[in-house]
Amino acid sequence: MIFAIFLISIVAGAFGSILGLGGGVVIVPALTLLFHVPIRYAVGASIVSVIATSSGAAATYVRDHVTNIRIAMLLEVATTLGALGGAMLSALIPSRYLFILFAVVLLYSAVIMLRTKRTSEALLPEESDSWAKHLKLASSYPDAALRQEVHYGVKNVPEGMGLMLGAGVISGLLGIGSGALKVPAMDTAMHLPIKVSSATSNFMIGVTAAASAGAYYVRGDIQPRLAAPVALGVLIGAWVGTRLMMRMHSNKIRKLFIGVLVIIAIQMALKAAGVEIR
Amino acid sequence: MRNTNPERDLIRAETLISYMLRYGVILSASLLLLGLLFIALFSSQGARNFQLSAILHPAPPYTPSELYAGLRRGDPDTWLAAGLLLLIGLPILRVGLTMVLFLLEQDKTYFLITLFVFVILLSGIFLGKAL
Repeated sequence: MIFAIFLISIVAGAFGSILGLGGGVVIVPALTLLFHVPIRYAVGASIVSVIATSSGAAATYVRDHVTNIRIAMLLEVATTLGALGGAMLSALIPSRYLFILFAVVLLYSAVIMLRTKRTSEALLPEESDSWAKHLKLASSYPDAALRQEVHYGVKNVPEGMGLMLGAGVISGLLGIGSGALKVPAMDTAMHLPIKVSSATSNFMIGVTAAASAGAYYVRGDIQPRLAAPVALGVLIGAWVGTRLMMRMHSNKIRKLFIGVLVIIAIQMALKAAGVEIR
Repeated sequence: MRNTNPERDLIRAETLISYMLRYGVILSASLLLLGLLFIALFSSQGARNFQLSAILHPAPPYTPSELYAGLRRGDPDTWLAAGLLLLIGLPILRVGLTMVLFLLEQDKTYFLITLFVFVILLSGIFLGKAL
């Protein structure tokens, strides 16, 4: 059992680090459905897996400056505020409707991402708009697949902040990570290259998860003998995943991401319908 | 540090943070690996320690003093807990260091932004409220 959990965690870490998602979408159903782990401990292990994905990936991404720290910090203001607000509201709104809403938002993001055609990251608009200029958000990263430094501008900062606030509210309400909403917001609204969106989302979800993990640990939801093999597997997976991602072509990453969005949307819709697979 | 290109300086300092992060991750992974191997190979139940009933059985050490005592005893379950706690602490440490970095860069806007995030994170931890 432990070895199977370890292997699944490697896969979760690899996907998570490539796509900028936490491992929760994979880890929680795997632990509860395949291994009959009580949901409480599965969620505890999953929150650790999100942090492991983030930290494991970050060591590579930051060194190659794919992660945009300024954007991450700026948007994190909106997400944390949204998450706090969402957590306070969560008692008031029945979660069933929220899961439907979340599924719709995810499908909508997938459609938008699918319709935004990008031939090459190198052809992205270089010009930032006034907010982004003022906040010095434009940057560049070395693209191993294109073998060149890709310079990028940043657009629609207020819209991006608004979407992040919404993502934060949803994650606070539902108690789930929101990498699936962060990446489309950065990709579609702010016109960031997908690799930058993914790496920056990864950084952000790790930070948010770490803040929650303290509470989980104190409550006793994080069982070391379960969370340790998960964390170790995810760290290895993230180490492999980051290296893969740097070499992958952006279009492939976007397609993979869109596919995963649809899967998560279906998962959420099933949840709303009362089928518990988390 | 304060020369012609502040963007380069920021990247250099970020590289430093990234190396700290990397060593933190390696240390955490080593603690987890050692703990798991010790439990699987040397404890009385061996690999049976990882069956569902056994996984959920041992209460994790919560308090700093329990952790300290466990580490001194060489208890592998405590190594696991220590590795996990280190892993959890790394992103928060990283935000803290980034905040110092912006302060050194005299980048007031981003210092305040990062300070805000840092305070929210810490309050989340101390209030025991999961974000």
